[in-house]
Amino acid sequence: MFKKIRGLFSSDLSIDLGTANTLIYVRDKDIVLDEPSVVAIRVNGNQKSVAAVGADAKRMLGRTPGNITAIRPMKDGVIADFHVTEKMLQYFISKVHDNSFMTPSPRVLVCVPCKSTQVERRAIKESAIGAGAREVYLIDEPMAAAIGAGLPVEEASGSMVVDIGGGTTEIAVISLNGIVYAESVRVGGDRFDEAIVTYVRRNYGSLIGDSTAERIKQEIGTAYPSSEILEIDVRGRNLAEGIPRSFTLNSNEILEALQEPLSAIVQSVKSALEQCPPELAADIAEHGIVLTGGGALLRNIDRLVSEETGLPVIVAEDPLTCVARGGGKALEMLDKHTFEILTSE
Amino acid sequence: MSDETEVVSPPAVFSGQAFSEARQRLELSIQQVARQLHLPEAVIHSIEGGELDKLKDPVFSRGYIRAYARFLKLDADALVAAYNQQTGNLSTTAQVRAIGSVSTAPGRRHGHPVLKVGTWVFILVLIAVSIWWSQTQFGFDAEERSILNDLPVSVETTDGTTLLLPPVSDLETEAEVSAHVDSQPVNESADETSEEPQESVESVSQSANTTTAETESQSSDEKINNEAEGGQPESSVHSGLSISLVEDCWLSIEDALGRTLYSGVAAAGSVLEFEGDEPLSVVIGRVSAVADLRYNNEPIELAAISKDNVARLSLPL
Repeated sequence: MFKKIRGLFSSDLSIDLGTANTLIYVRDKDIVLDEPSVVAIRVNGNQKSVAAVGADAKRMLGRTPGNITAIRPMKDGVIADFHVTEKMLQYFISKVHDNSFMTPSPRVLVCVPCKSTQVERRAIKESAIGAGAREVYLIDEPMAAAIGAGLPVEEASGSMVVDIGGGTTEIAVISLNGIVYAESVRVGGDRFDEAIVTYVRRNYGSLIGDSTAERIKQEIGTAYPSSEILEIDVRGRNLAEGIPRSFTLNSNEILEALQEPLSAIVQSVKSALEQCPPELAADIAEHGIVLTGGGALLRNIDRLVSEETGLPVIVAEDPLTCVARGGGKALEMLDKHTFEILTSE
Repeated sequence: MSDETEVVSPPAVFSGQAFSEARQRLELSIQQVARQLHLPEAVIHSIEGGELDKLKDPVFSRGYIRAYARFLKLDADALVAAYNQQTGNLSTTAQVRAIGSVSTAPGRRHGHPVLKVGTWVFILVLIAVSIWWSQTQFGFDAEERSILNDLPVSVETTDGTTLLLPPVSDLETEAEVSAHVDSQPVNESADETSEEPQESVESVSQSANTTTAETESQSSDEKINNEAEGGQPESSVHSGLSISLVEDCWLSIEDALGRTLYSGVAAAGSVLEFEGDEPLSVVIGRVSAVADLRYNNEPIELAAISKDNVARLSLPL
């Protein structure tokens, strides 16, 4: 009862609870929050408190004193730390509500990996309820990504979407508001970062942090050989000497570093095409594959998939926000009592 | 993302010629471009020819233009923006619509409008006819019943005699009389308990006789009257109380039914008279103020029953 009253002062939200970033779309508005899924926890004796959430907490990653721990509560697209996720969501939900009259209690649509287990989905749902949500609906990430990318999901035509997120890559073939085939591989932006860290340690004998690896990926990372060679100066701790050293990396080296995770994604795409019904495969061959998610921003990744599959591959407009925007569109369907695009727990 | 993008000049309007010129500058044929991008040649032709209506879904069209622009090192963002401007496809998100549902239930078809209206008219006429019929039926019943009520009714008694009862309408109008008569057997039950059924039938006939002159029986009429007269004093006994006061006095008088006949201070010199069902409960707050107290015209001496100048008595003593 009280939640319903609070609901009058709340907006419906679509939350892309990603491993790397959390995006919130407010109904009838737009994306209003795009923050890293990082929480800094301060430990004071037996008491734990939240020191920072989002971008502030991300800046603390790898730079915290003993009593503060900056953690990423999401791993591989699902909750790794339930209570921290709940706190993070609570913070984000209150942040998108300017109204300080009373605690918001919105209806929330959360995007979940299509291959997440029932327990993982339950955890996400419970976490959102714990964060103050009045009602929680779940939608498969590839479906939300397809809607956000503008694919004609309701038509009797196959559309293939590859959502490369922070923790997972979701590949799905969608037709008539439903998922015909879906595959989820635990390879994403985080694995790219890990691959770069491993490459640098192996080839330069230096240790770099995840944040540095991410910066390298964003600035010079490429998925397909290019005539243009980009370079970046990086500082890392030399393992042999134990002191920080500076060195220069180029895009071809990063391409080499990313081979393993990239080939895993390509293999999954090929596998999806193999298992796709022939009519839908023909539709996909005609229109092409659509890439969404932060991973789609990696240079020439569309070219890589296109060369490997021989199909046209396009990157969706604003791929980073596709899932959240798609969830927002699905939110509008809630009042029309059309739940066919939603997924069950 | 667009590492190979070379900002040439962002065109205000979408120009297919920019693609064509850039491709020729790179000395590439349409076939080569199509093979490299894995796009149909028709798409390349449509882009270069500016035939945007020939391109398919806006989502894919944007993707093709962006891919081709990047391949030719053109400003992909500007060209896509120009495409959006020209085609009016500014929304990048799909409009979600529910898949329609088809009912397979038999007979659930959308009929012709004339048939629908005809059906409704038929239903309304049917309702109107049924209402009219029910009203006429009930109306006839009422008339018939009133006619029947006006006829006298003959009743066979247990001793073989036939009594003619008055019409029901008359009985209904004289319900008070019949009710009064019905109460008589109760009073007489001590004497005539063995003949109760006969008595009730007889009493009905007696009540009928009081109202119907032709069938009146003198003896039964007298009996009823006697019973009525005899029963009346037993059910309610009224008595008279008279009090004369020489001074102000507080009085409280209640009758047997609990009705308060008087309660309050009576003025000096007043003579009060009360009637009520026995026994009367009388409280006199100041005995010395009472000059005379009579009950059924018999004087009552208060001095013997008063205490502290207050008398509480129940009449008759």
